[in-house]
Amino acid sequence: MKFVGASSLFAVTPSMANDTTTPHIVVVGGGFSGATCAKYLKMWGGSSVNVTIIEANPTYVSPILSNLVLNGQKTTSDLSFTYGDLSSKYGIKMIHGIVNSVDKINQSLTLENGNSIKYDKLVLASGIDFIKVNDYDVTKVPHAWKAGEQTNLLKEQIDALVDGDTFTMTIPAAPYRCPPGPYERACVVADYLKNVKGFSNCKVNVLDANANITVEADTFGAKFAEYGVEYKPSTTVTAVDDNTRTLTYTENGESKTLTSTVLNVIPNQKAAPVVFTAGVNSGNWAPINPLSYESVMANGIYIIGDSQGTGQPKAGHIGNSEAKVCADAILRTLNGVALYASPKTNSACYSPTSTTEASWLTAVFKYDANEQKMVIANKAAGGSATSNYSKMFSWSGNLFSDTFA
Amino acid sequence: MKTTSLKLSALASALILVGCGGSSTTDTAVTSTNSLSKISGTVPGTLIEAFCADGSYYKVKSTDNNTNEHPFEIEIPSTVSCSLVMTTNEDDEATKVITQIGVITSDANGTLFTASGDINLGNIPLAMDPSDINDANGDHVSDDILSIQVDGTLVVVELENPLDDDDDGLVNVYEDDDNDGIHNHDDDDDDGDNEIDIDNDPDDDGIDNDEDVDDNNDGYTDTPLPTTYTANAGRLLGSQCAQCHGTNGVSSTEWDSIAGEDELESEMFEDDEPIMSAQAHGYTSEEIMLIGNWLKTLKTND
Repeated sequence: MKFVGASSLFAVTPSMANDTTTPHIVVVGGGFSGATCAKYLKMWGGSSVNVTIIEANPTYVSPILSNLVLNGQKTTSDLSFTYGDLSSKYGIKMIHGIVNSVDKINQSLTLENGNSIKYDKLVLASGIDFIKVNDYDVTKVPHAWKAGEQTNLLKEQIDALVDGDTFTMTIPAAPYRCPPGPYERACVVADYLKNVKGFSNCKVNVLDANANITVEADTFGAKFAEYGVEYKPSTTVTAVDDNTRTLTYTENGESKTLTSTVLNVIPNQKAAPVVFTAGVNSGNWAPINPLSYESVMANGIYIIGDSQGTGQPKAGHIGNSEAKVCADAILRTLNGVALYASPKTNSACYSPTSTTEASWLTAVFKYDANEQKMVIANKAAGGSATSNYSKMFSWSGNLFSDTFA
Repeated sequence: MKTTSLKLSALASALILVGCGGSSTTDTAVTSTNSLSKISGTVPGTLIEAFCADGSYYKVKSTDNNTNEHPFEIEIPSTVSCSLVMTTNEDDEATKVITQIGVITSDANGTLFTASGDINLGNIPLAMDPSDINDANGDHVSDDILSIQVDGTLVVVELENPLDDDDDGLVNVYEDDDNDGIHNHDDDDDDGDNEIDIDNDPDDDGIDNDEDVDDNNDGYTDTPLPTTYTANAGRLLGSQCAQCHGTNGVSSTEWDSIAGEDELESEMFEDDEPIMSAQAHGYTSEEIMLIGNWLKTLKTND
């Protein structure tokens, strides 16, 4: 009885009254898209909004540049970001936890620890989930497609290789996170084994679910030839044996097996679990309105980054880009201002291809009002060159600070 | 101008000896000011940084005039005490040399000073080669302070230095607390515990964020957050430049800052980076005009 009395008194205090009038935006996921969205909501909306990030991990390890952990040029701690600046500079509340359920009617989330949080607008920015072909141990067959422990596991396995051993990776069917990433990784590992370790008899196999190299085909194709990478397009992985590190796959309708000293299977992908929990998926991804990133299936829920279902690529740079359009759209909506009718987003990526070279790829996306979707306004690519290598860090440095600082 | 080199430890004891030298100062710790003093001189090609006691930060690069003596001017608050650090070969990790500057007046010497008027430091003979400095831990920060004699009527040496916790004269930012050969400024793990530092002083300047008027040493007083949202199409479009050029156009890498850019269209298309012109061709002239109008409202970094 005491508690009931106390809480009802509390509910009428002025501070609570204020809190209920300031809209609360909850961002689930603190990666490139989620952190950027939260930062820009506060940078542009200031004290007119309360912003909370719910993120499982206290430290975010960037997948961008993480292939350089494999060749020893970076460590995962070099690529780690915390949320101190977002809290101290922008007043964003950080909660480290996992969302268990989403109550769309009452606009409330329940966390794994039982706590619940009310929201006025909900942004889902939780990246990807994997579709594994069978149950296997990812510590034995790492994907290293979410950076951190997995990256270091793969690094350890690669460092244990001796001359004559085999490294095999599989590339998922598009769409998947970071289109150039798998090809970049194959180049970095092949270069590392051949030119850093000096192993002339190691074999690097790349089994690609796609019919061709999906991006920068000339650049990566030439590097594969230079390194002697065995590239098999249109292969579908059907089984993974983690004990023997054996793949079963189909190629030209024929079932084959391949055993490898190190096996790096990057599984096919779908939207993050919270998108399915919230029931805002259609198939594997979340359909949204590109003017706001609001779900077409539920009002007040926005999906940005790798989980969203437009044709835009799934990657950190464009996740940051989408986040700004989303943040501005939420603030417009809260203030009764019409959505900006012709937003632009962009994508850019520098990919290392060795310890000294990198290539790049970029695109601008514009809104096509007739098709009601984002289409390419311009795109270009630059081949592998030493001059691009240092620029890669000029690019990533500003991307990292625009997101986390 | 006369210059002398002092060992850091020697300077600390010198400071104690001159501790009663009458350098009484006004309390300037957190007062912000519009009044600026110009510190000038000549150097080899150099980055000049000023770390100030209120947490503010200023930097400038010397101007290449095709001689060995490049002129510079840096404006610092005239009522806040500051410390100067100069870096030669600042863009090259292998050959950069970082030197703490000290000042000597008739009253005292030290590395934190308040300049109530414009000061010309003359030619400053900075080392250009890491092999020319004493640098026990190899972090490219000279173990010696380069001290410069200045006129004591406009400069007051401060003996309490909040930017220098160990009182050796060198600002905290360029100390190497864990002696790993990476000075704190570049070290994500100052204490060597193998965990990324999480504290309330992420810019390592010794000024706690609660008192620091520039939490991240980006050269700007931290902008207070707005109280209301105002829609701005140029800002929305221009925010898409930030992935490569920094939030609000202020770059933290070698790539250009674009805050304050007043010739955006020609810069975008004439840039010798093909990745920039590829982006430029994705925008209409009207969009570029909107972005340009917004960028002109932003504070520049130089």
